[in-house]
Amino acid sequence: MNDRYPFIVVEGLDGTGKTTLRKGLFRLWEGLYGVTPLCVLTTNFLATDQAAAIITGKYQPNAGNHDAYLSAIAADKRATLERLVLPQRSARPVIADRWLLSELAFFAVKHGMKVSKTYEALATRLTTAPDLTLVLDLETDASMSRAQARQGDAVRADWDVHDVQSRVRETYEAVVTKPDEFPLLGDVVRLDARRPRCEVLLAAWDVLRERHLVPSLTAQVEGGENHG
Amino acid sequence: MTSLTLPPRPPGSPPLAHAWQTLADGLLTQRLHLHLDEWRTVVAEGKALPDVPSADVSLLARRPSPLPEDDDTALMLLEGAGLGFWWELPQRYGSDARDPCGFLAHAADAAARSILAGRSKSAWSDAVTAVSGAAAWWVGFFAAIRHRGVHHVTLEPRPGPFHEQALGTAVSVVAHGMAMRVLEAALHTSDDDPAVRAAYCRAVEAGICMEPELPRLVDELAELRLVDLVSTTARWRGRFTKYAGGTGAGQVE
Repeated sequence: MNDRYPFIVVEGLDGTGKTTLRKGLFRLWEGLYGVTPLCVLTTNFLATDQAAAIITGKYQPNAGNHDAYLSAIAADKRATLERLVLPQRSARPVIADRWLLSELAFFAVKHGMKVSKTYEALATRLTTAPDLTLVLDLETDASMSRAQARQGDAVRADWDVHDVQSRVRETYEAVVTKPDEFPLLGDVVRLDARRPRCEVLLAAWDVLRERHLVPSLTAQVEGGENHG
Repeated sequence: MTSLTLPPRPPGSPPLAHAWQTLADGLLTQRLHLHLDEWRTVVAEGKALPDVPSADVSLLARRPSPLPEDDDTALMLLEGAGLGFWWELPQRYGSDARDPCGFLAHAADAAARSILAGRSKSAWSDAVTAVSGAAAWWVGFFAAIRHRGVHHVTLEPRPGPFHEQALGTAVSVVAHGMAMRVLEAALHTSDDDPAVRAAYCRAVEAGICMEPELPRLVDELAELRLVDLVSTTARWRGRFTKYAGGTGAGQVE
């Protein structure tokens, strides 16, 4: 028996509402199910010797650092799985704001690398898939408009431009329509992010309920249940 | 499809947040009874408050609307959520206002309407309306005696003046937080009603939208009892810092 909570990934273009959904799922788990989730990011800088390569590869991507970057994020994800996700899942859900899908898109857009090749390289280092990858889907114009309207410095000049974001979305499309080719994404569910954010949260909650990834509220208190 | 077994909660390990919420509820009850005579005096005098002269004290003290008399299911839900005190004490001690409604009651009503989105005539919707109305009274209670309180950080007396508008924001924040507790209790009874789940998601989203404003609101309210009321009711990162550091007792009450 492998008692554990789910590992949930939220993906989507900038401005599609990933942060809001992550916070919503956090509050849902904490407030309603009485379990405080752990939230992580796609890179968490846990493979210390790879940190510089992650920074360089992400913000100054070029042909010279592309292999090192791919290797670095694989090492970082492996460390995140080993040190955070796997140990914590016995006690709480883990919610990642971006994970594998974003990396596939980054290498496709910035380096022209086939998603199958990127996936293959990452898959040699990673053995654990999330239980669920939620992909927030929104037209590029709308997501960019939302991203530009928010406060802070989250918009990047070399990334949050229409051409790049359109290609990222195309990559998402190509991957999520062939989930069997990318088992390390887990179950992939696309959510219509045009809706109000409370409705997106409700839809995500429904997905978790349908897949028995949340406990039954009425039978929650004692004993636990088998799901699956 | 994923197959996994969700772990049972270990016996005897309820979430710590539940215990902190219980402590915070008890603190509210303590403070009400501790300061009831002082509050009654302020209300009876009817003078302008020194720290918020524009506020009408009689409206701050106004008793919220009662629950429907012909149906006690909403009251049972409130009791089940541990919120009987929250609804009952304003009913017991609130005063009849000369005017039908004040701005705090309007803020409470707006909060309830935004969560309910037109749903009514059910135990959970009546309970959400009730705790929201009570939020206006509790905020009004501590606002009326704020000038006699202390700053929440320095514990120095006479926290400075503030804007009346902050009270409306406080009511909205508190009403949303209490509504979430009602909806959680309703969902623990049955999570099959999509209307309840949708209302809960609306409350969650509203809480997320409010969170960035909370530090500024806390700064504006400044006074310990009002700050505790808001900060332990809202779902935000600062909710139980009062207790998380090992403090929470022995302060000025």
